[in-house]
Amino acid sequence: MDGLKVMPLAMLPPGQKARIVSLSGGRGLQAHLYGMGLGLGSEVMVIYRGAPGPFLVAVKETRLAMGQGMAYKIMVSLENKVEQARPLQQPNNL
Amino acid sequence: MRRKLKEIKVAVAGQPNSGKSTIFNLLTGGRQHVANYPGITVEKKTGTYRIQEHKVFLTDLPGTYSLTSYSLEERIARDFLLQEKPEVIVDIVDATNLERNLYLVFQLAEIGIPLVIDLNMADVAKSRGFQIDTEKLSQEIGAEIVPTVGNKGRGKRELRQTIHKAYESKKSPRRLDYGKELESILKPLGQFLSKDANFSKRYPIRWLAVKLLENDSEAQRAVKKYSTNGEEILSYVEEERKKFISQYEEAPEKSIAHQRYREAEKIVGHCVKQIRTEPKTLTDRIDMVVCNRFSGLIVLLGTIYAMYNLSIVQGYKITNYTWPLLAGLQKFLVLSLPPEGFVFDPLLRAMPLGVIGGVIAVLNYVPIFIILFALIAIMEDTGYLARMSFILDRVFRYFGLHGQSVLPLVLGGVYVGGCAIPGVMACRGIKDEKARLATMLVVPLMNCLAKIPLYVLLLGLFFAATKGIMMFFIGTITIIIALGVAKILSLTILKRKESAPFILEMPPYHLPTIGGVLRRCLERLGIFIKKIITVVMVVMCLVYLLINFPGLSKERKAHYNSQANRIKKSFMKKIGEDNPYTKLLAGDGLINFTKYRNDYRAATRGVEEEKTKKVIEQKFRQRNFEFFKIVKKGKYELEGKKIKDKDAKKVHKTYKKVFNQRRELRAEKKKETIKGSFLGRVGIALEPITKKLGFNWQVNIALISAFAAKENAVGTIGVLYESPPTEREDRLEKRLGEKEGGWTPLHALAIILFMAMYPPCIPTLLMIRVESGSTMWMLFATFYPIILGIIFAFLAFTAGNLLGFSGLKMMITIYTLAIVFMVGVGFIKRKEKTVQQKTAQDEIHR
Ligand SMILES: Nc1nc2c(ncn2[C@@H]2O[C@H](COP(=O)(O)OP(=O)(O)OP(=O)(O)O)[C@@H](O)[C@H]2O)c(=O)[nH]1
Ligand SMILES: [Mg+2]
Repeated sequence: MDGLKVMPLAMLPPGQKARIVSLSGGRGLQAHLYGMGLGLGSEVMVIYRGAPGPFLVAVKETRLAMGQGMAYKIMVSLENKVEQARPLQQPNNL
Repeated sequence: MRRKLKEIKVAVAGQPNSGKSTIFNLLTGGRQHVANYPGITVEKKTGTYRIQEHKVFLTDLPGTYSLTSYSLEERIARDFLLQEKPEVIVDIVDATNLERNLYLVFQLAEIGIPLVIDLNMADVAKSRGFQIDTEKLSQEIGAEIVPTVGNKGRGKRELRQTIHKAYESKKSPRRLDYGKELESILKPLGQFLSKDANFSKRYPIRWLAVKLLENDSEAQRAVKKYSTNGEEILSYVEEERKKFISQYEEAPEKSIAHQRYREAEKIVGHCVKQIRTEPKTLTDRIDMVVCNRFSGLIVLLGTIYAMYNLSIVQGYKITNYTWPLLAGLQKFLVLSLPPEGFVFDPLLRAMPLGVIGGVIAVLNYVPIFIILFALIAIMEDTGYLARMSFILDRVFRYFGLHGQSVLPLVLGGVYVGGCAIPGVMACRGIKDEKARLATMLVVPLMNCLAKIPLYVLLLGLFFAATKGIMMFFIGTITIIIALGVAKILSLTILKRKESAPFILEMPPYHLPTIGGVLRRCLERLGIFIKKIITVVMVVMCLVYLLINFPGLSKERKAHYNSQANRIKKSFMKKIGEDNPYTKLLAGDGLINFTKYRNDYRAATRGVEEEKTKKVIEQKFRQRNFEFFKIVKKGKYELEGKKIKDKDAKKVHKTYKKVFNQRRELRAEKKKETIKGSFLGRVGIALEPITKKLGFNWQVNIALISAFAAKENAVGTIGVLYESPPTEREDRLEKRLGEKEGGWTPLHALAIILFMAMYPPCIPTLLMIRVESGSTMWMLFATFYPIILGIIFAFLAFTAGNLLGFSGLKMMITIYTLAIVFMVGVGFIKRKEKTVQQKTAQDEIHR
């Protein structure tokens, strides 16, 4: 992942678009977040950032409020091409 | 002739706040909570409608972003779909948010039940510049699509017809193709699962295969429990998962989610055109102000102040107009009771009198509640409530609460006036188990409306000059203490409870609909009134029995009866044998006259207008002319002449003395009865201890009876300080002031603070039991406030006396202490952040 600037969503400057590269937290939570539109590769933007929290985040048409803890569980990358690097795009030799 | 209709079971599913309840109401004409706040519907609700020869059973499911087993809502929705096996699923899709909503569509399709997509919020989508090609969308998804505008009722007929068509066709929706890599596992897994015929009848195979591959714990449990070769299947899945992970360096659940995303993105790309993009929607612009740390706080405080002013201050004014109606009702009800005796009243009069009084006193609050609940509903419907969660999460987090704790606390009475019952019920929406319990346990500390009369009574009496500022202190100290308590609870007994991070969808703002607001307001009001009519009635009866039984001994009763006879005799002697009225007042005559006079006084009280006065007088004149002469003190008109009747005047004068003697006798009897009653004995037994808190036995009794329902406190004090049933509260203040000349403001402050902490009333406790699912929490919620109350009353009274402080000074001292306490505990253990940061870093490498 060299060359990509990866950081927790909590550190993303407001107004800057980024893509999600990883989520942490329990498996149940992750699955739940996928449903809210917070999946790997989703584009997110912080609209308002209260220091230390909470955060108002835009994911497509959805506006999500999240606590600081949550915002640290979501890692984002400023690089836009994350999606192309997805493993399933390049079929493996079975 | 009635044909038997064939039944169709239909489930309404969809993501939160997409309009499920609105559509449900539209289809069934039912009444369901609708609010612009995600997660309002937690339980499922059912309703019916008819179409052709079918009766449709509709079930409104809680909103779910997906079908995992993460939250209560998801489990409810999922269990319903799998176990009840509806014949059609209607998925309410928010058209403005199609891509995200498709994520759920794919999962619903996997269940295999005929699916209808309701493309709701079509109006909003259009105004935002989205053009959706529904025909194409229908083809790509492989299910019927109906555009609707739920709150305007558009699309109702089409939707009904499409549901019917889907039912008739029995066609399964198209399933998502997860791609070669995943399908090569899913297909054999499906075949493996369907080997057990019984099992494959119970569960949709495709859905289960995907869930197993996703490592879903509920799915695993289902396999283990119901499949004959469960262990074998699970180890097979485990093996496949491992292989997949080593091959693609990714967990299958991630690939599955990703595949759904890609498909959704693709479909949206094909079917949705955005002809106009707004760089910033109105909602975003409003949020810049409302969610801002500084301006947001001002908006928040303004909102709370406006709520307080409109509901409590203005609502109170309205009660001035509604009170006469209630008083009239009370008068009317009392008339139907058996008449009073000279000293001893029949039980069938005394008990209902208390009950009626209690219920009427509480009904007096109804206008305030209507306004309060309507305002809360408006805040929910516009979307502002969700922003309140956002702003306050920052504060609440320090105290172990959650942004979503806002609604329960507001309902419970953040400043003054609320009700803990809807407050406790509203805790359901909180995802975080720890915060949910903490909120539920502190909601009763808020100032429910029923605590207010006692405050008003005592403040008026002992803090007349500083009433306003004292009310402010009392109104706000409870939230300060509640925050501190919540933190302590979450650090101690709730330590082990699961905690979930705060994440909440902020719905776009929109204008509230009258119907929606009214419906919610009336629903909550209904709960409140039901409580009064059932619980308060039962409880008032119980309190009556407890403070009147076992009752006086035979000797004491005889004593009172002989006293009564003495009074009667001396009355007769004083008016003299030769008085023409003597015969009339002999025997039962005296008590009959008493009743007549009471009625007359009640009827003429407060009547100013000459005309009405004349009418009333005429009525009483007809009822009993002789009695009428007496109550008019011998001055009346007869055939146009003014007559002065000396005898009648004399009777009246003498009677007044008798009346006072009787009143004193009755009061004495009552006090003796209460002192000897069950509750009285407890109150007296506690006095040595409660003296330190400044409570005498009367206060003890009042506070114990308040446990049943807080509105009892003032009522019981009224009884103990001798109030005949028809008197109003202002008189009680006077009596209390006279009788308790020894009381200081510190006494009053101790009582007020104890009341502020007071255990929840019985209905609230029952609700806590239901919502927490445990008797232990209910008991805990009963006892910890008593301890708190004792601490505060002790501080106020004993410490106050030692320091020689005035009431106000002591209040300020305690208030300051409370703030110090709150801020102190707020700072305990805030290491969480760093821990989470670390896990976040760890996770990147996984
Ligand atoms: N403009 C517009 N508003 C709608 C439409 N349908 C529903 N609403 C509004 O959207 C809000 C949410 O509606 P609900 O019916 O409570 O949504 P729900 O899906 O039941 O929500 P939960 O039960 O909380 O998951 C309400 O304020 C409705 O008035 C629509 O078609 N257009
Ligand atoms: Mg709903």
